[in-house]
Amino acid sequence: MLEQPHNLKTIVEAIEIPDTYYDLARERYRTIGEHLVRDKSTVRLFEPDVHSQGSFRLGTAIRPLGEAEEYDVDLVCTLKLLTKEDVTPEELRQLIRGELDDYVARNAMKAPPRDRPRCITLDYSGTPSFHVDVLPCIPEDGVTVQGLAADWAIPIEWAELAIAITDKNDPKFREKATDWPSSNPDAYGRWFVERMSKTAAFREAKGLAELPVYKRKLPLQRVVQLLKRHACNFFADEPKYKPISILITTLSAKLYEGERSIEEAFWKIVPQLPAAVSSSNPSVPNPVNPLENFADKWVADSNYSHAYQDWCTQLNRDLTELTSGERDKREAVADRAFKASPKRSKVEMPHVHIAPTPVKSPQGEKPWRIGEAYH
Amino acid sequence: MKDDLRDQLNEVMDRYPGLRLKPGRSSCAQLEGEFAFEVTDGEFKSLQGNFLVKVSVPRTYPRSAPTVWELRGEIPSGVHVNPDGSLCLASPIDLDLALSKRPSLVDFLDRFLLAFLVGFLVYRKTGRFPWGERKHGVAGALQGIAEWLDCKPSKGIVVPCLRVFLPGHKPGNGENCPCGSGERYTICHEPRISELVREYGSQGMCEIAWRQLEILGFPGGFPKSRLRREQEEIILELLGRGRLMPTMAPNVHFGS
Repeated sequence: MLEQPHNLKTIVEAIEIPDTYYDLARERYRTIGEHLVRDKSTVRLFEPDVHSQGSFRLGTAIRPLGEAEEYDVDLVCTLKLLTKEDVTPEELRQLIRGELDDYVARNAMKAPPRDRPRCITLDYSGTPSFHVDVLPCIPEDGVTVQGLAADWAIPIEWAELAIAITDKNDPKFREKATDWPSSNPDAYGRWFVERMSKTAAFREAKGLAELPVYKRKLPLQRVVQLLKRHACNFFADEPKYKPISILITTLSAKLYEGERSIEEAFWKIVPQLPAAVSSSNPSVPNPVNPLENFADKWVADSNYSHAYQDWCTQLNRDLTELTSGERDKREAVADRAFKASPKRSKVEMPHVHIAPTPVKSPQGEKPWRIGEAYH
Repeated sequence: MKDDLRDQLNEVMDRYPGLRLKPGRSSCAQLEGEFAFEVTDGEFKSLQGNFLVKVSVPRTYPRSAPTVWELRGEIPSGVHVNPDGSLCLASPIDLDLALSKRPSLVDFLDRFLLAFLVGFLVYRKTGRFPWGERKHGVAGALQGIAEWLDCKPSKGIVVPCLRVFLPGHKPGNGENCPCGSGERYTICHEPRISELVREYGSQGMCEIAWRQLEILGFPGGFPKSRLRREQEEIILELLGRGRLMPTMAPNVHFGS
């Protein structure tokens, strides 16, 4: 068989990050975890636990579009023995922030931790450089967990993984409250892994389950990477309206039906994307916490829905050309839609030659005129 | 986005594969990229063009016209370019009459953008446009209308002629023609006006006439409430963006 230089798999290979980056990220959060449980740690008694969430957990991280190799790694930092009765969100933030200040000083990191609304960001310099977002949290209270399970038919073992998080913009940030913002990245991760292993072949494949999720590289993970990359490129000049990664991930995982190849999975998912989000009432609920709408910003600003539909239209065209077009066209699409041409490794985008469309002006008609009635 | 517009955008990208969608707004979809073409007949045997353009397509298309920008700066400002930098594709009445027939987006771009760019290539080759140029501003709009109505391009004549399209303004059988010829209406402009009404419908011509009157500074007694909001917006847009620039005069032949 002839080599297909620009099929979906080769694009994925061009945009995905090396396993060593995942290992490096893991090393980062291992050292943060160790710091929190060291003898002198102020939070050691609250049984701290640090693990990853987001694309580094799901194995769906992609290279950034620009030259700079910068990655966002999301970590969950739970103080497992604390409850909403023990601390206010602000106090929880201070506890963890204090330890992270100490961590940054001990590791001679240049930048101090940055406070963001829901997380604390650590900047690791070097190549690749990592921004590590630490999400301070405690386990969700029993009432909330029972509510999730009973009201939304979330399996109880998933509901129990829910966490209460802090948000500096929340009016109750400084109060002892029972209604902290809620999240559940662990259950989300399990849901995603369940979706991506939908086919028995994948569940039973020898040794696959023992691999870390990021090393499995199953079709759903690949499709998410491709869609994220396409969106990064499509929205490069309009990043505000780019669908957030978790929205793309959620829709893909919902629409995936266990297809065995990237092509099949892509064809299954992409044509269904336009109808997957209603324009009049945009909603992409978190599958493990339906109260959370990943498209919440879309409700007030209809530009989001329209830009999303435009993206779907272009995506569908590009997929068609990638899977059925001629070699030249595939090459052009890989380049223009994914910025993933082999030629592109380190250089600026070359000029893409597009063959002119022959337009034959009909005999006797003057194309710039509209006035047949004027003859 | 209505599926209809999505199909039309796809059709445009099929025909002009250098164009790609960019994230649009709720008001407009946006195409950007190379608008490449080759005109293969006519006096200039093979005219090839490749322009980098941005086309903003109102999601209500064909109720309002797309706006086009040329992005490499190959078309000097002043050469059929509006003050906001967009290309002046045609005079308001040309656009209005064309859109009232609900052309597909491909048809619209072929008829206006392709024609514009072909004209520009000829201009670049020969130093003159293959068609005459209309005047700028209101005078240009006036010329455009006068050509359509087959009357003199003066406000005193064009305005009464346009008013004929408004309800209740049709001259009686014995009355003189509003064009000021001194002839009776029925033997002077009645045939031309009936022809336009047959072609574009009486409601259609009424709305078009109202808009043109507004542009000329004569809101002609047509009740505003009967116009849809978008139409009012079009007028404001046309006035605000100074679309009233020269356009392709219809009588010059090229390529046949």
